Order: sequence, then structure tokens, then C-alpha cells
Amino acid sequence: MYGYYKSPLTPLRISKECIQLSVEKEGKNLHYIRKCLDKSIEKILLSKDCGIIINPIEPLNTPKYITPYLLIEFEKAVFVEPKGTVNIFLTFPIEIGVFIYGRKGYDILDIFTLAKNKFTLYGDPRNGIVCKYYKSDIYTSIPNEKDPMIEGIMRLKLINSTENWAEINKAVFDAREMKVYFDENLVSTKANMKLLSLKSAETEFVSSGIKKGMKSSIEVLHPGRLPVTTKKYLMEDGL
Amino acid sequence: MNLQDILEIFKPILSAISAKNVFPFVLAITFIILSILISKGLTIGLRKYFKEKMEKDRLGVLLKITYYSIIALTIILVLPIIGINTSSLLVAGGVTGIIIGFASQSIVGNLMSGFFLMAERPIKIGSQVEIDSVRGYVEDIGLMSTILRDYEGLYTRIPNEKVFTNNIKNYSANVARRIEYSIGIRFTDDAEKAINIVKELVDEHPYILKHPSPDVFVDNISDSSVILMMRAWAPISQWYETKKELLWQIKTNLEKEGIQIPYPQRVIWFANDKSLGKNNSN
Repeated sequence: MYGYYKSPLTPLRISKECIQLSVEKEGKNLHYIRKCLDKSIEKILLSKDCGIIINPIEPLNTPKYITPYLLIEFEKAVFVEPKGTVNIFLTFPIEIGVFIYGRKGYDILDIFTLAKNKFTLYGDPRNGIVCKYYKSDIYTSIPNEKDPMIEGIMRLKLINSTENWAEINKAVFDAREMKVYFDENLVSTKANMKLLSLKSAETEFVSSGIKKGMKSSIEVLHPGRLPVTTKKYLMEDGL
Repeated sequence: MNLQDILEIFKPILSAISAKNVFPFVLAITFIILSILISKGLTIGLRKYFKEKMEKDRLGVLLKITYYSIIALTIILVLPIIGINTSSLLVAGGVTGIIIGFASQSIVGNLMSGFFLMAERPIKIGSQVEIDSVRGYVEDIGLMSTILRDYEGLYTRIPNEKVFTNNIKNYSANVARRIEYSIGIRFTDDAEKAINIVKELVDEHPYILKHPSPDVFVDNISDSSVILMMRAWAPISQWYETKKELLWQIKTNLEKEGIQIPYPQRVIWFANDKSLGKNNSN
């Protein structure tokens, strides 16, 4: 399903799992229709010559963009030895972005997801942050049989810079800086988590996929995303 | 009255307004107008530059301070041009300050409160607050007053002194807020089943936060019903919508499962009709 659909779009009909997506000609214009689960939307494209790009995007936009942060809770706690570095694999929810492009650039047309939407609070209600929430199992190698329409695989490098064994139960990221890569069977991202103490850590995304030859997704621009802002997020309210 | 008479009347005034006297006034007014234009231009430039980099209310304070400081400084600088010695103003200012202070206590009070509000920042532009029994959105925080738009869309101006001395309830200061429902079910209904239905809805709702963990429990056994309590947290931006939506879902899902919210009831025993009492007790 992911990929470029070049002009002329009509007739375009994509049907995968519970998603039905089509572009139909209506008079001089194009009519975009998407049905997913129980919801459907329709949009009119006032263009004769446009294409569509469908790719996985960071999970911040559905049901509504209310936070740039993503918290992944581990199904089981992970212990990292002092001064140790280890790679683990997690799953993260993905959203599917439909972009419209023409001669003068592209823009987001539609976003939907098959993953469960849930939010959580990291920290306390006064000083904490609201995060998109996802619970993931821990894997030591790339897990198989994950649906690339629902979940992506994150390779998380855990770097314990302390002199003690560290227990980690969750990771919080600024997902505005998330780099999503994809191919037909896999959606992936890479991130690092550097433990600064037993209560705090720094997380950041890395710009590469977990396998060679994966394509980079087009990103959705979120409010507050400025080139000068740091790409790292400092977890200060516990691991 | 002919033209000659009219000219005779205005002669002393016209002789007083000589070029020598008028020029400093014109110059002073020109400087003040220029300073207003410069401060306007500067605030527009600052607004554009800091729009994405500063919070709205902090930017508002910066712009107001810049605007009024430039004009005030220009007025002080142009006073000597029209023959007013500023050093003498300082001496006179001491005496007049006391007089003005007494005469305009509330104005000074509002002004000082405005400065303290800007420094302490208990409210921000866009916050949802309750001040002096007025609930609404903060539209502007000025030097003298704070403007609220209440939930009916009405404009309310509250003097800053009142804002500063009253209790302020800021509904949007924290990132999350708790939702609490008290749900009564019949004595005959399965309370455990009802709890599970509510828990499932809470778990499924995207905006009910995973942490702090939601809680559903039997809170009380009242005269007419078993009271279930539900406590859960939602992001502040979604609190109102979530509160409305979830309560409706709980009501409809409980009813679907045959669990009803009871009417108040009273069991009446008749002293000479034991059989009726027996039936009622069943």
C-alpha cells in the first residue's frame, strides 16, 4: 500500500485489510474517499494533475494532535549492566499519512491509524507532560509477523553511563524528531537512550532504518518544530 | 461687528503666537508623533520576530513595555524644548506625587497589581480561569485591567487590583485534570459487572490517561442505590469533551447490559398488613 501513486490518479482504488481508499473523477475535479474501520472521509481535490504518496508517519496526529511526546512502556523491565550498551527492539504504533503532491510541492491530505490510541501522563499533573502511550514487548532481534500497517519496529540502543545496574520500564521521546523508514514488509525507526543516572535519561532518534534499502517517510510538520530546537528529550521523572 | 472688530479681538492672541513661540511646540509634538510611529514600528517588528519564539503573554508584556517606554522617554526629553525644566519637575514631583497618590489610589493600585501579575504570572493569555466569580478565557492582561471572555462570549473587564487580591482558579495551569463520576445502580444489579463495563470503557477511551491509573469502585451503599465511583484523568485540552462523551457511553452501555440507574425508593410497611410487607421485602 505504501508508495507513490503518480498522476493521472483515476481510477485509483486501494483495498488492504480494513482500509479502502479511492480517487474518483467527479466532473472536472477529483474525489478522494477513505474508509477505515467504521470511519470514512471524503475530500474534493481541485486539481487535474496531482499524485498521492502514502507512507507511515509518526503516531502523533490521531485522534487529534495534542502532544509531541511518545511514551513506550515495556511489558517487562529491562536491566542494563554498569557502563553497558545493549540493543533491544520494541514496537511502536504508526499512523498512515496520505500526502497530495503536485508541481508546487506536497501537503498532508489525510491521516488515519489502525493502532489503538491512548495517552498517558509522564511526571505529575503540574510539571509533567502528556504523551501518546504504547505498550511493547521487548525483543532481542527484529520480531517477525508484525503488521506494517499497525506497528513499526524500533531499535533502541540503551547506553548505561552510570556505575550501577539500571532498571528501565519505559522510554519517552520527542516524536517530532522521529525518522520513520519503511519497505513493503517493515516500518522502522532507530533511537538511542542514554542513562544519565538511575532516574534520568536522554533519548534521541537516529536518521536511519534498521535494514538497508528502506525508504524515508515524508514527515508531517508539527507546531513548535524549529530547526534550532534540540533533538534530544531529557527524561527526568523516572525510567 | 465687522472684520476690523474681529481682528481687534484676536490681536493679542495672534501677537502671542509668534513663530518664535510656536516652533518649540511644533517641534515637541513632531518628536512625540515620531516616537509613537517608531514605537509602533518597533513593536510590529518585535511581534513578528518573537511570535514563534515567545509565549503570547510574555510577548505582550515586552511589547507594552517597549511601546510605552519609548513614548515616555521622548516626552521627558522634549519637555526642555518647550521650556519645562525636568529637574524642577523632580522637586515638584515629590509634592504632586503625594497629592496624585491620594487622588488616584485605585489607579496606582491597579497599575502595581498589573506589574505583580506580570511578574508572578498566575494566569496567562488563553488560560481558563475563575476570578471573582467570573469564569472564562483570559483575553488580555493589561497594566490596569485583565480582560476575560466568559463562556457565553461576554467581555468582562476586571481591574488588576481585584485580580491580584482575589482567589484565582486556573483550570488550565496543569497538563491534566481528573474526571469524577458518581453512578448509582440498583441493589439487584451485579455491581461487579457494572464495574467491569465502566473499566472497559475507561480503558478504551483514548483520552483517559493510562497513568495516573483510573479507578472504579463501590463507593457507598445509599438509601436507593449502590454508588459506583469512577475517577480518571484526562489531558486538560480534552477534559470537557472527554467528560461529556464518557458519561454518555457509561449510561448507554450500562443500560444495554440491563443495569439501570434507579429512582429514589422508599419501602413502606403497614403495621396491620404483614403480607404486603413480605412482598415488598422481596
